[in-house]
Amino acid sequence: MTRSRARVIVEEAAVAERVAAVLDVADFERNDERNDERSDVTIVSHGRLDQAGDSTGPMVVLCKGTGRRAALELIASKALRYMVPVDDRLEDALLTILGKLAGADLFGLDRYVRHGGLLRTWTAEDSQAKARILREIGARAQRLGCPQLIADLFLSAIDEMAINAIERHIRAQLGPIEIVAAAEVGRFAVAVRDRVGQLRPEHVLGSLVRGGAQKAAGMALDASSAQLGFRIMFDTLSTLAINVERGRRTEVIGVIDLGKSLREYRDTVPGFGCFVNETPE
Amino acid sequence: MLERLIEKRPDGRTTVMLSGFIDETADLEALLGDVEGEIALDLSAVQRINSIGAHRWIITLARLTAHRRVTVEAVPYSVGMQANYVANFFARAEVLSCLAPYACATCETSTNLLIHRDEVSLRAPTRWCKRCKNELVFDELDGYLDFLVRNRS
Repeated sequence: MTRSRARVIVEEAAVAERVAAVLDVADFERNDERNDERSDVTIVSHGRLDQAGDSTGPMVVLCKGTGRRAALELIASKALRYMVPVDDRLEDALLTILGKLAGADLFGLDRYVRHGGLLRTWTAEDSQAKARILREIGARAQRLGCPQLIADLFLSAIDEMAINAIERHIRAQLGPIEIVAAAEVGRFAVAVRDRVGQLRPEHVLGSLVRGGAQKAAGMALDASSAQLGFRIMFDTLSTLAINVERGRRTEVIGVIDLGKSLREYRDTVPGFGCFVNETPE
Repeated sequence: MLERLIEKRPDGRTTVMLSGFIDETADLEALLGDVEGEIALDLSAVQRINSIGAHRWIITLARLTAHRRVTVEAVPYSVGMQANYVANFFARAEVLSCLAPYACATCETSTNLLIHRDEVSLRAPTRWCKRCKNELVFDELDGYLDFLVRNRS
């Protein structure tokens, strides 16, 4: 079995060392030859994106020090599907993305809370159930030491994740959706799962672009609220991951990293991944 | 669930205090459609707003503010966040004040404090901790108060 190959274009030596360590653990072979179509993935610093134009395969962008707003603009303007913040969780985040890109199961919270465990699973079929579950998740967040306003941001994101999934299930007459919470020290994660599998990366990224434009141009009265919904998710989470098995299921994962002030949290570069399995078994 | 409390002011204006969640279950037309004359909307008890609620809010505010004066007071953090995403969030309404997040580095506490739009220049107004009397830190990004000042006349 051939090893997956990664092209690395990283400016800082210290970051490059950390990336190399992750490649070893993920069993990736490093291949930095330009124009080599055998690279399965390119890992590039956001400041060197212009050097990655000839890369083939998925591109994982390492983003450092830009702040959240600039990172979101980068995701939107370059249609990036994988972003990893260069912080103390870089290794875990990169390992998660590389594992998924190398063909591991896309679904599950365990890759986002590697050192923790499942807290609870709920089902929700309507707004009343969603409201009850959000209250329980809010109480869990407080018990984990999450500041109230950051917990409120997290709940806003989960609200968007859940209402989108519930609406899809109602339209397709599929019954309740599933909401799962997991935690580890310093991290709280929630996944919302539907059995539709119709979310597309271009729709998510397009919503981010159009949602960003509403800041200046306003929201048309006949516009879809989904654009705003994705903007809220991107803007309020530490990590947003979207897993799609086309035509079968969708899992949207929202993660908050605890231990930051609200201002620090709001200015932190978010992690992002949009993974699609085109050929369900 | 979203509820309202109506109070008639001596100056003839009507205060409508909204409390709860502005989401897909909120019937804003039923809550605001029958209020006549100038309106002061107090949002201090709104706990959360989602994208469907925001869309309904924008439609309702566009109609509500088309031919009369509407003021908005005590915009909570959750609503302020969304107001910054959408330029026409408050339509023609005048936003007078908001609840802004401050933190005390000494006491390690967080609090929401009412600030008026006239207090805001390039940065958030200074506030002091009630307990230790030290200056509080504005606990958001500098652009957070954009929604409060963008329609300031």
